[in-house]
Amino acid sequence: MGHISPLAFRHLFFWFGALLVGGIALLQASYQSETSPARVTLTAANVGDVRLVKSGGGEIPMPPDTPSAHSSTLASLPAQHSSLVAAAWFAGERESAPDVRIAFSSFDKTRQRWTPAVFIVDRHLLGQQLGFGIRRLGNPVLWRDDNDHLHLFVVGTGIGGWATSRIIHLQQRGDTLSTTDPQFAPRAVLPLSWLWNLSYLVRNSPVVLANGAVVLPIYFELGSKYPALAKLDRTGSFRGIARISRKPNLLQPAVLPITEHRWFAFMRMSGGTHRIAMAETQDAGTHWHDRPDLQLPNPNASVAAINANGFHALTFNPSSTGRDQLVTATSANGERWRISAQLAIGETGDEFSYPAMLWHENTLWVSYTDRRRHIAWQRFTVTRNTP
Amino acid sequence: MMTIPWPWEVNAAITPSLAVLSVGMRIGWALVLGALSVSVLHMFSITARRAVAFAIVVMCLIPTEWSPSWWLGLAFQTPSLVLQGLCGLYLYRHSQARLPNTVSPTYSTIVSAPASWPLRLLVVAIVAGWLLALDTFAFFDFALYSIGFTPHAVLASLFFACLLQLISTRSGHSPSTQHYRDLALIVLVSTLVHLLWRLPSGNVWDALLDPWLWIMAHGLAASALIKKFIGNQRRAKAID
Repeated sequence: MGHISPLAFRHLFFWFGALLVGGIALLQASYQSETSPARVTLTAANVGDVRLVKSGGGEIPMPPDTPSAHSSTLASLPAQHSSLVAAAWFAGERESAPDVRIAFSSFDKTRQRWTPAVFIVDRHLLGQQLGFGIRRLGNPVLWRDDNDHLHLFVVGTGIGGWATSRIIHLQQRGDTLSTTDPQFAPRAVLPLSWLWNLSYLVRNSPVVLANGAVVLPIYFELGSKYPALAKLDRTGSFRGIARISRKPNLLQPAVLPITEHRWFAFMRMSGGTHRIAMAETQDAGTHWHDRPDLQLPNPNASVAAINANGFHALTFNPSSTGRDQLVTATSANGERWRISAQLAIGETGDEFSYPAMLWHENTLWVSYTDRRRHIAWQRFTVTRNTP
Repeated sequence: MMTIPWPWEVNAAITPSLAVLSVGMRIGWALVLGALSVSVLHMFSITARRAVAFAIVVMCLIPTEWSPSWWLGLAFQTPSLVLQGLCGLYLYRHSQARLPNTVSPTYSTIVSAPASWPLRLLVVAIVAGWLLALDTFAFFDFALYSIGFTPHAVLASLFFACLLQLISTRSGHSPSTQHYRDLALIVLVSTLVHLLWRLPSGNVWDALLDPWLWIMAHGLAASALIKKFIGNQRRAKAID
């Protein structure tokens, strides 16, 4: 029997390991190939222009002793739920304050009003669950999956301000029909950047695809600001990212499906022409190209867009200098917009901003920040002007 | 009963579970800070160095706000598996050294690398890091980072490990052989750990290179170039 030297043994060990790794990697490559192209399901054809008729509105109650609120998000609740719609926002002493937490309320079907707000995410508890610290919380985004679990994406900052943010994915635990106090537990930190996973934030609601998967609009904002999409499967498992634009001053994309594969993204513009920026994809979010800016102004403020079964709605501040007005416009094609509802008019310096929209049970729901004191909401029924 | 999909199944998550991520982060920073403490405290006795390194490793592994991992994770998330591997190897060699309780040249030759890192390896790390850093700021039309989530990137990582192993075999007894051989094994093990548990983030580029390792590569390359320049100057003077 020949004697095997330690070096020869190490070589043999390496090549055996390489074969093992190669085998597993090839299995992954063969199983994880794209099975079906992404697309959305649109349940109604284009019905022309519409008229919005207000059917409700007011303030969503704040948690006790909480002076400031910002950046709300809306999600529909299951049919058997006692509430119609859920809302979440960040609340505390002020934006970026250490006491900011994520607040939650839902619109009770029977009482036709919002339930008392509760806090559902606390940065200290979240840090303990994650195993590392979170300095500040912000920008919650809700999504209900097809198993009726609510998912919550929140921004958590590292050392520094919003530019050191990461996106944390939480999922509802336990009783999914609990109205007053849903429990959320962290599920993942979305891996979005090589640079210590820094500086990706979330703001607008995801677009649900035909297979139950979602694309979540996100944006980078360390120095250069650019929009992107995070892809998640129907269970909420992260699947990858795609960049929407390389322009260095666009953020907070809102994605509007026009057809199954053709989507628009509308973006807040930091500087530049002070108009709402626009990009388009023809292959359901895989490749994007920039389009000329819309003729609608943008005072460096977030916008929201939705395809409401055939008509399109866009909520924005109709000014290039301030956030003291907020309107909802409608469109048949996503390119030419007509203002259909005046949501808020304030005095110079007032702020009505960060809108969120939801289409649920043939009603358009809009929520927005009202002077940073609370979250306001309005509800519209829709009259269709058939062309 | 809940079934966990195998890593190669189509519905397997491509990111690590939160429990795995939390443990992986603590182990990662324990290895890095342990190696750093041994390296920085070189003027102290071997016993003192080992005691300090042990205390730091234990502190990093504890899941509390008092742990350095808590704060390093907040700032930098998890170190790359290759950096963890290099630090682990450094600690292993340090623990294997049989030494007197003093600093000696013998000790430094055992614990530290037999020669400085090959410049071409450092250049690969530097160029790869610059590509990933520029990609972070959307400098290119294509998205390099997102390719790191695909199985093809894992195969590229495996190819890189095999290439390093072949170079180490062919370079015979040159001073850099040990580095190529060590790095080949570290990249291979990192790829396997990434495949099985998706550490550190689900992206294979994060497993191979992190910004700290990239910055270190700059420092080592600068040091190697300065040494080379001084050596050339001395040789030129000697010839004169």
